[in-house]
Amino acid sequence: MLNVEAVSRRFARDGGAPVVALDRVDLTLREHEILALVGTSGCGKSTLLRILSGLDRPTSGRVALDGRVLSGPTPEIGMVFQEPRLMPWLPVRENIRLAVLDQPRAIQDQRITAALDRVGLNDAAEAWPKALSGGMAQRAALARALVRQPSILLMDEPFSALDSFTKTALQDHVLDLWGRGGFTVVLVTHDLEEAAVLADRVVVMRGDPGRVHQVVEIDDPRPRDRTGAEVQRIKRELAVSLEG
Amino acid sequence: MTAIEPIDNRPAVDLREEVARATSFSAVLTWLWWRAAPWVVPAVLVVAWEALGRLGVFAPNLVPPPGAVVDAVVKLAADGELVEHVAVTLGRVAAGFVWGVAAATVLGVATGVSATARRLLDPTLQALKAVPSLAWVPLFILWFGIFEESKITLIAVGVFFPVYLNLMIAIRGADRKLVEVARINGLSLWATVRYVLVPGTLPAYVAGLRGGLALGWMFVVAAELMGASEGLGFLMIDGQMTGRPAMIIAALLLFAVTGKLTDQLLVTVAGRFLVWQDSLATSEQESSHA
Repeated sequence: MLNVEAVSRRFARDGGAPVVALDRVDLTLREHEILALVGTSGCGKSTLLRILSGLDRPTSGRVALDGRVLSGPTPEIGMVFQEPRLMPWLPVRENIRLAVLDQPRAIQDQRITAALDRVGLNDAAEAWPKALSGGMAQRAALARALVRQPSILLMDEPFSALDSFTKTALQDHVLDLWGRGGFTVVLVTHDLEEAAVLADRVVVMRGDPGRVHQVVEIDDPRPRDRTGAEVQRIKRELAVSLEG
Repeated sequence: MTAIEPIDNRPAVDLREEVARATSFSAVLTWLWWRAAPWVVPAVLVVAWEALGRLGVFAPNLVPPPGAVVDAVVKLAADGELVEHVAVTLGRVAAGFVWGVAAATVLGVATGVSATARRLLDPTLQALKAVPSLAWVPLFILWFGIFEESKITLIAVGVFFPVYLNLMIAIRGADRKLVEVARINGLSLWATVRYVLVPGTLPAYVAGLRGGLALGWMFVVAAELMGASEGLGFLMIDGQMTGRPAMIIAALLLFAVTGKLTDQLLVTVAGRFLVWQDSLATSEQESSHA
């Protein structure tokens, strides 16, 4: 699994002390869990996610995947960004193909069809991104991440740009895929209800310097009732942890 | 004006559908008016021109009536000269365009991709850009003679800058977020160029090509006015020397028509690669009414 060991990340700042986005963060992912990273903006949660993805490197410390130090993006770790980030010049199917270009053509087609099927976008396979709704575009991005068959799926506030109805539907969809998929999810969010509904563990981060403040375990069995007492209680606990 | 305002902002495609569905006479009238609107001002100008000519307001030896201009064009066409002059000018623009675009593409990619190349080359190119392009004429004539080489070089210089600048800026401004998608999916450099960078810079490149083509047409006039024995610019000079204003105006109109047609050709060809864009097709459809 993925181990974060004393990871720090500093950013140089013109004419001042460097910004400490992450300060000696330790974290170990568990098999097949949903881990939420919550915190106010500037707490380092997105920086941590980018380091887990291999897009950014720690200034010190290391991230190890099954014992090997992570030195860059790897097929085992998939990423869904806040925006769908589809290439506007490629139809949905070809956007997803980008993630499996290293495979033989026949495997590509087979996997793309399976991925489209999983996110329910078969009918939109040939559509241009400009024709997709926000929710559909994000599902296409999800398919692009899943088509590589990652063991860890990183999600950077993937629902934050969606309207509340689409957001709930897509959250349930992700939960369903996770239930069947056997992969681990790391979800960055500032929406405490989202964390309370989806996560097995919530890592509460605080900024300046970015550190893990508290880890909240959630035992509430799924499916969880969004308006239920337990979800609301966890929400309150997280809110207190964030600000208290 | 108020009658057409509700339709004013809709793309032309919607209008056609609307006409197909329209049952009322007034809807057809509105559509006809919308289609005809761009031709109203030119038509009024031509009628006024003809009328004022006949009333003797203009001296006919300076401002020939529209009919005389049409006669001039017809006569040129009948002699076979029209095709010849247009072809010569078109050939010069094409040659200058190809050379200018080739140089601009190579240098634009280099300075767009490499900071070293940009540091090394861009200041010099920007300085050269500051030279008013017609100022090159004496030097080019001295270097390349008064025939084709100097003309084509001048046109190529005109074409070069808009293409170069657009391409360099587009490459430098490539969407970092999409490049990250390429990185996270393990795309090779070649695949990143092919699937992310080239399509991403294409709209700006096409805009540069159109700007370059427009300057190419501007410079071919300059080149041909400077001294030529054939071409549309030569027709103008010839018309001036021999006191035939109808010929000058005819050449002017031919410049407008061929320039517009080559631009339309460029847009049509490029449009095939840009169907994914929201804007280009619609905006072109709008401007093609003009």
